[in-house]
Amino acid sequence: MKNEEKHLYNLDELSDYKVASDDPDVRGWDVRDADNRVIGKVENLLVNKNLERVVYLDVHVDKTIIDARHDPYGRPNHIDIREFVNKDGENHVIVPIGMVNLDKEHKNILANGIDHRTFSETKRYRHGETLNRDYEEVVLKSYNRANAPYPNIDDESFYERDEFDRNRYTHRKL
Amino acid sequence: MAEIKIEKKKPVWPWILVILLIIIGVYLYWSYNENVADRNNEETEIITDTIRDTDENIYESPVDTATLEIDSTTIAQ
Repeated sequence: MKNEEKHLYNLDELSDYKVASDDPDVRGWDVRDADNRVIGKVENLLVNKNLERVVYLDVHVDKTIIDARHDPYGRPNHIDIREFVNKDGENHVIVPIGMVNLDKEHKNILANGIDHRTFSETKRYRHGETLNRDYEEVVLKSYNRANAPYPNIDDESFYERDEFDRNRYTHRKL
Repeated sequence: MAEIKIEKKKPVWPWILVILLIIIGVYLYWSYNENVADRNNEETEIITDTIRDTDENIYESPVDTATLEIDSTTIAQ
């Protein structure tokens, strides 16, 4: 993937940063969908250095997600989010931090608003690829397919969207 | 609420510096004590020589002070 301006970093590649001492390091935690099924595991944290916080979870998806191949040439319900094919080796997906809850007791990530089918129909990427804004937009559209399209937003305030703030996302009107 | 903040790691080099300073301090202290001990040993040998000359006896070093006392008593009688 091309990248004009890098605004996302794997926490692993920022050797001078770490998860804040008051917050949990969720790497290795299971990610569960709306039906409480495990859809993958958090492999890394994607952070924005300006905001000094995690904005996406980098999830290594479970085989069930890869095996549930959706038909990209079938009749799409949402034509703008079904114009891709997940290729072999593309087994990672990003999940906006505001769209999940942390179950600290059981070390689970709960993506209450995203079901298994949505996860399987979301564009994935190959581990190590650089992520660009286009990919982020595609993923957010996929997760928000039930909601009205989000107004265009400029680069500076992209991470002020509801998907990156749990409180606002929960209270957002569908 | 799911929010995970990140923070800059605190630099490690000040701790390394402190540990190095402590090691140097301990070494200097130990080295100073060794020198003082050496000097004390030298002084002790001189005293031993003096005692031997006064009694006109030959004692093996270190000096046996118990023998010295017996000898003193014998002289007094």
